[in-house]
Amino acid sequence: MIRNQDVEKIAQFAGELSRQISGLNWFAFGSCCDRIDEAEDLDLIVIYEDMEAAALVRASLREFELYPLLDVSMFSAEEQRDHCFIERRGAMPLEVFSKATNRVSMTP
Amino acid sequence: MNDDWAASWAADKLQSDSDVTAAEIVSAGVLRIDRKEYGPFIAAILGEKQSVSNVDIESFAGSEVKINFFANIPRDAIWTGGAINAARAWPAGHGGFADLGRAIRNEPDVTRYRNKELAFFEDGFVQHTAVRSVERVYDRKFRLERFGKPDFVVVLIDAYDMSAEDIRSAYSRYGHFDGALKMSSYGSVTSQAKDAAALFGAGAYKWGELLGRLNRA
Repeated sequence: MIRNQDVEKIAQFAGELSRQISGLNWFAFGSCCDRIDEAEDLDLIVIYEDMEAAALVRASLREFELYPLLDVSMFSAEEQRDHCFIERRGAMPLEVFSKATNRVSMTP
Repeated sequence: MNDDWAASWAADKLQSDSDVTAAEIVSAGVLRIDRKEYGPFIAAILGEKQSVSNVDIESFAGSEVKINFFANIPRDAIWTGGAINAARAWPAGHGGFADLGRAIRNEPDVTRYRNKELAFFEDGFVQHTAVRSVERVYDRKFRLERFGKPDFVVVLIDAYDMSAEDIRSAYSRYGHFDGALKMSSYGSVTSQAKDAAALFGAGAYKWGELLGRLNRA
C-alpha cells in the first residue's frame, strides 16, 4: 500500500522537521526497502539527541497525513551507540531510500 | 481531518490494494468494500480520532446500512475499553487502518476479526494462574486483578527493540502503569527504557519476565 510518491512525501516531511529540530537522523529499513510494491507500511528509525526533540517529532508525526503508513522506532543517540540499531537492522538513510525509489519509478 | 475526508482517504488507499476490487463511499464516513477473495462488507471510517470511545461507535446506531467493521485512521489511536466492548457487542470488527487491511485479506467474516497480537496477550493474561480477572482499560492497557495480590496494570508496547521513548510515549498516552510489556518476542529492552520505566515506578518486561512478575507481590 506504500507508493513511490508516498516515500518522497515522507522524505520531504522528515527533511523539513530536521531543519526545525537539530540532531535528527532518519533511516528506512524492513520489507519496504526490498519490495516496495508489496509493503504495507514503511519502517523508520529516528535518532534524536534529547527528550524534547523526541516529543516534538512524535507530536509532528501524529499530525502527518501519511502517519498511518509509518512504523516508527525512536532511539536516543546513546541508545544507538549502545545497541547499533541502524547497523543491526540494515537500515539506510531515508533520503537515499527516497532517491532510489524515485529512480525506479522513473524507469520505463 | 473530518470523517468524510478520512473516508475519501481510506477509499483512495484501498483502491490501490491488490485484494480490493472496489471501495466506494455509500454514506457519510461509511465505505462499501468489495474484495477479490471474499464477499463485500461495510466499514465505518471513524476519522482521525486520537481516542475512540463507545459514543463514536454508538453514533452509527441509526445507519441505514449494517456496519461490519469500525476503522480509525491513526495507527496509534487509543481505543477505550468501552469502545472495544461496544464494537464486540455490535458485532463488528474494529481497529486501525492496518487492521482493516488484515481483515480484508484474511477474514471471510470481518465481524470476527481480532488483532492477533493483542488477542495473544489478552488470552495469556486470562489464562495466567495468578490472575482472577482482566479488564481492558484501553486497547493496549489491561488491569489484571490478581488472587491475594494488588492489581497489576500492564501497557503493551509494539516495539522490536523497546526504547526510553517508547516508555515515555506510553506513559503520556495511557497514564500510570506498573509494567510495560514488549510485544515482540525478538529484539531487546534497552537499559535506557528500564531507567525510564523506573522513573515512573514501573518495570519494563519481555513476555516471560512479565509472567514471572505477576506471581510476585
